[in-house]
Amino acid sequence: MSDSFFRKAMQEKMGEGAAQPGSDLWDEINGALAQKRAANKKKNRFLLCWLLPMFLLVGGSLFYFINKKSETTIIEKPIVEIPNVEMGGTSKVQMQVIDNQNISKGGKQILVEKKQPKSKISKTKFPIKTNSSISSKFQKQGQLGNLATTVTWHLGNPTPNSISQLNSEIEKNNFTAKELGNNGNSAMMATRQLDNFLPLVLEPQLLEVNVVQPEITELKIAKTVIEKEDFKKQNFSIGINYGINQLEYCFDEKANSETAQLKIGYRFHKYLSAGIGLGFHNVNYDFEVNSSDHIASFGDTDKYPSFYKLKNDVAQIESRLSYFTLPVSLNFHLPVTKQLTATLTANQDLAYNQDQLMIYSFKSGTDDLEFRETNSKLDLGFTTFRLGFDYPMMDGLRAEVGFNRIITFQTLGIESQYYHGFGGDFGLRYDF
Amino acid sequence: MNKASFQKLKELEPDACKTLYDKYKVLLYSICRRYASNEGDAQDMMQEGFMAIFNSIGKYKFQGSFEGYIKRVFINTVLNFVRKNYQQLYKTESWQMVNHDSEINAAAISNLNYEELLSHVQNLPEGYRIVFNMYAIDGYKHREIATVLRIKESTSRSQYTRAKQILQKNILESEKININE
Repeated sequence: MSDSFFRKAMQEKMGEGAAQPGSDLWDEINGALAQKRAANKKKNRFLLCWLLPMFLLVGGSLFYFINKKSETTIIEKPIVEIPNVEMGGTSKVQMQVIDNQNISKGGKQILVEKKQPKSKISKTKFPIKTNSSISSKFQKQGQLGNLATTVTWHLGNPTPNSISQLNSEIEKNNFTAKELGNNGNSAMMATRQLDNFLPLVLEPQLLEVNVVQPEITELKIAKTVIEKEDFKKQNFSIGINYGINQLEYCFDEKANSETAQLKIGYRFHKYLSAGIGLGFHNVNYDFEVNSSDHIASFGDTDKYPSFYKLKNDVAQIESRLSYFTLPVSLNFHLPVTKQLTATLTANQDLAYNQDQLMIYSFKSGTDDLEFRETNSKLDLGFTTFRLGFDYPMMDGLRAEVGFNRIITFQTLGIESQYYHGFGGDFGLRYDF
Repeated sequence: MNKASFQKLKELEPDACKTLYDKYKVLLYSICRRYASNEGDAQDMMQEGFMAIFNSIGKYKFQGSFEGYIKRVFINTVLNFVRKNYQQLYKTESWQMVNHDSEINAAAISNLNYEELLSHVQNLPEGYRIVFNMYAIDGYKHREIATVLRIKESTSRSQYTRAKQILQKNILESEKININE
C-alpha cells in the first residue's frame, strides 16, 4: 500500500474516536476561566476608573502649563512710604512699577512729587498702573487751596504708540512734561497744578500710600521686591509614611494590608522628582471557602500535593504574608496653590524576604494544616499609582496625604495570587 | 458560529464556553490521546489546549473554518506541551530499507477498531509517536515538523519511517494472534 493510502486510512480510522475526557476536567477549565474573567473585570475597572482620569489629569495639567501665558508681576506695596506732610511741605517718593518683560531691563522709575497745603492730609492715593497704558483721574472736591502734584509715568516698553498716548494724556490734564531720564531710557515727568482739591480722591483701584517721613529731600531708588513661586534646584527630601490598603483577590475576597516606608527623594526639575526607599508590607486575610472557584483560583498548589488532595474539604484559609520592599518612584509635582502641591506618583515596590504562613481549616473537622514558605529573592513586587497632596507645616517640613491604586503584575506568596487594591497613606517630608 | 455567539465566547460567558467545550471535546481529546504518553498527560493537554483556545478566541478573523482554527490552536498547544515535557528522543538514525514483505494492507487497518489502532499508536516510542501523529494523521509536512520540533528534516523522515515499520509490525502480529484465536 502506498504511503498516501496508508495515511488516508489512518486519518479515517483516527477520526472515529468517541472517547470523552473525565467529567472533572471541565470543572478545572471552568475554574481557570473564572479567574481569567475576574482578572479581565479588574483590568477594565482599572483602565476606566483610574488610568483614564490619571491620564486626563496629567495631560490636562501639562497642556495648561505649556500654554500658560506669562503673568505680570505686580508689586502690591509701595517700597518707599511718604510721610505725613504739613501744609506747604514737599515730599518726594519714587516707586517702581515693573512688568515681567522689564525686570531684567531694570524698568523705569516713577517720580511722584506732591506739595500739600498746610492742612493735614494723612492719606493720599497715587495711581499705579502695571502696563504702559496711562490713565489717571482726579476728582476735585472741596476747598484745599493750591495743591501741586507731580506725577511721573512709567513706560514699560516705550513704543511710538505709548509715547503719543502719554503726550495726549499730558495735554488733556494740563500737565507739563519733563524728561527725568534713568536707566538710559527716557521717562516723562509732568506737573499739574490742582486747585481746590481736598481731599484727593482717586479711583478705588489706585494704590494707597501711607505718609511716614517728613521732607524726604533725597531720591531713593526703591528696590524691587518681587515674590515668585519657585523651587530650590537640587532639592533633596527625606520622608516617612504609613499606609493602609484593601486588596482584592481574584474571587472578590478582600484582604487588608499595611505599608510603612522611609524614602529619600531628589528634585531634578521644577515638576519632577525621583525617590528610593525602604519599606515593609504586611498582608493578612481570612477567607471562608464556599466554592470550587476559590480553590481553583489558587495557582501553584502543586507545590503541596497533600493540600491538593484535600482541596475539596477546605472550609477556611487564613494567610499572613509579609515582606520588605524597595520602593522606586517617579513623581510629578503640580502646584495647586502657593502652599498646597499635588503629586502624581508611579511607584514600584520591589519585594524581598517574603515570608508567608497559610493555615487551612477543613469542613470535616480534620486538624488544621499549616504551610510556611520563605523566599529571599528580589521580586517584582507591586506597582502603585498615587495621587498625593502636601502642605507646608514649618521650615522645610511638609505633611503629606495620598490615595493610591495597587496592582501586582506577578504573583506573590505561596498561593501565587495576583491582587489589586486601593489605599491611603499619610506622612511627613522634609525638603532641604 | 454566528457573531452573537462569537461575542459571548470572547467575553468568556460561562454558557458559551461550555457549549464550545461540549461540541469539540471528543475531537480534541482524541488528539490528546494520540500524543500523550499517559492519561494524566492527555488531561493536562486538554486543559492547556482549551485555555489556549479561549485566550485566543479574539484573534479569529472569520477567515477559514472555525473548527480548523481551534484545531490549529489546540495542536500547537499540544506540541508545546510535548516539547516542554517530553525528553527528546530524536536521534539521527540511519535510514533502513522497509521490508516490503511485511507491509500492511488497507484491510488490516480497517479491521482494527479505533481503540485497538490507538493502542498501537500509543505504544510507539515517544519521539516516533509524535512525528507519526504529525505526519500521518495531522497532515504536517516534514519541513514543518522539523521547524516545530526543532529537528532536522531528515530526522523527521527517518523517525516516521521507523514508526511506520514498528506500527506495521505490531498490527501484523496482532492480526496473526487474532487469526490463531
